[in-house]
Amino acid sequence: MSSKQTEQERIPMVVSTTTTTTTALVETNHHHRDLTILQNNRDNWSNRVVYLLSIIGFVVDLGRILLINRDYYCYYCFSIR
Amino acid sequence: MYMELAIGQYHRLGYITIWERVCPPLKGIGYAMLIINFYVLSYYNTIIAWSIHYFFASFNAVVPWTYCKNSWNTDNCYSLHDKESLNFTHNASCSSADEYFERRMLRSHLSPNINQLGSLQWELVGCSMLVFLLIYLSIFKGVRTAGKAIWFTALVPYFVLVILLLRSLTLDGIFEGLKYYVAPTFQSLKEYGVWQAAAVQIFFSLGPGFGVLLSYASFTDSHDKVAHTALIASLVNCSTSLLYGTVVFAGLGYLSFRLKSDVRQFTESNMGLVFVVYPEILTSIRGAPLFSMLFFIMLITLGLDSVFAGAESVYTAIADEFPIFARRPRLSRALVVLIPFLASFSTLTYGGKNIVHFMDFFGTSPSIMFVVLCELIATAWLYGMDRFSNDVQTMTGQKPNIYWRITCRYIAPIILCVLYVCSFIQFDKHEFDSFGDAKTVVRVSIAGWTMSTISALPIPIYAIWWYLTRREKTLSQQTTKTVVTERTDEQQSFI
Repeated sequence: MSSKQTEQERIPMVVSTTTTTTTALVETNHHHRDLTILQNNRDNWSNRVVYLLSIIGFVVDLGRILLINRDYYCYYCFSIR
Repeated sequence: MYMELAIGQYHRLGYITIWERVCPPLKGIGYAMLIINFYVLSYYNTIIAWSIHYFFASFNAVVPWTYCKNSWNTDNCYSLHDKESLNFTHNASCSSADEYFERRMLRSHLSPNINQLGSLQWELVGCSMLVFLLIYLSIFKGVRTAGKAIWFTALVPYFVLVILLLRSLTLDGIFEGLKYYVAPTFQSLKEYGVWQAAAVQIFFSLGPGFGVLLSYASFTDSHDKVAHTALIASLVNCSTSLLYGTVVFAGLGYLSFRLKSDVRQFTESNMGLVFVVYPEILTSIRGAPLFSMLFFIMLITLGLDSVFAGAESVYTAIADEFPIFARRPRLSRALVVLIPFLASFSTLTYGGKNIVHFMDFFGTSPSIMFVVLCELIATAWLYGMDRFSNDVQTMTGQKPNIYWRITCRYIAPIILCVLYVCSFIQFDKHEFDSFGDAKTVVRVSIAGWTMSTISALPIPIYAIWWYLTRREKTLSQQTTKTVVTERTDEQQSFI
């Protein structure tokens, strides 16, 4: 009986300590915010095609077309032409 | 590109906050990306504004850069459609399209050097406002609206490119231009500079270091095949370059045929290739106004989706890091759009072209390489390739293959290191000679390198600050975590 009681007393104590320490961790971690909440509450692309188009839309930019200084710089500096 | 997509998809956070998960001392990478994005947003929109100006100017029976009889033209003007003026061309001659770009749209003749930018070009201010409004409308509900806008902005350029390609194939002299474009010069392969230029070109074309890939990946399904996405995007990107090159060089072949000159002289022009040479080509084909409108619609859409990607990534980064911005998302997005608009005013003056040149040169190139180098070190070395591989396996069911592992860990950092050092060594001091006298050029170079350094500085500053203040906290947190784990184990053993 006494050993059972000891177990029952010890378990809440451990749980309590864990909860407190976890709370402390969350509080100290990243300006009192839990990053998991940010990750879970995120908007999503409606489908994979939209996601792919968005990536393609970003990488295929005016720089590709303008051939302005960025490319010109390469050609100019390295005397390709 | 692969690495940015993978860590963004796994951690699902904006490009500042994510580094707390990946490598806390290098969180400055996120702030560096933020600064670079603001630099880009403050000048890139001006180039789209120029396209909008040209688009509206195309609504004429005869596009206004066709002839030399306008109030802005000089005596040195020649036109493809005026045989008399073509007979008197000399070194000081400018085409009607060139004079339209310089003297009508930019009015750059009213700004003698970079110290005297002149007043605002109000037409361009109006066009720029329209650009920022379009950007805001595209992102005001985040990826929900951006996902709808992208159907238009990503697909229209291909539709227009195919039309222009078909039209180009019917023109005379195109084979001369295409020959210049595709004929290889094998001797050049022995030159180090060619390989270096190719590396710089492909590096910038894939858009790493801006954080956009990382932000966009954070909105996708976490089981998306990262390697497939990276490969498809890269292949489409390179194919688009080839397609566009074919269209432009076919046009240049036609122009050289009409002017009886060498194709080479047109390819060496600066940003004039798009705003001078190609519009000039368009004037001489039937249905010029329609093809001009299509061409500039293509430029506008190409620019818009890149810019609203940048703006949305800025919002995502600051909203994840500073929750106050996430509470009022529409207002915050409006601020993200408004601040670069105000910052872009100097690019909308008579001398704005020089500011665009300056910002494009110093705003991105050297610091982006440094940022990407730090990203690779943080992920492949400090976070660890094994952890990264496990993350990819968790998402896709497969670890990255040997190619990705070796590239991310060894090849990419080494190449970037070389390119970064070369960007300093090979800086050409004559790049800004057109900005004014020798003193001005020196000042411009100093200002440029300072601006470039400012965008890279957050990385070392944050690392030092973290080492001095946060390191002990993080270490104590790790100790506490160990205690928690031990106690939980203890508790489970009791249960």
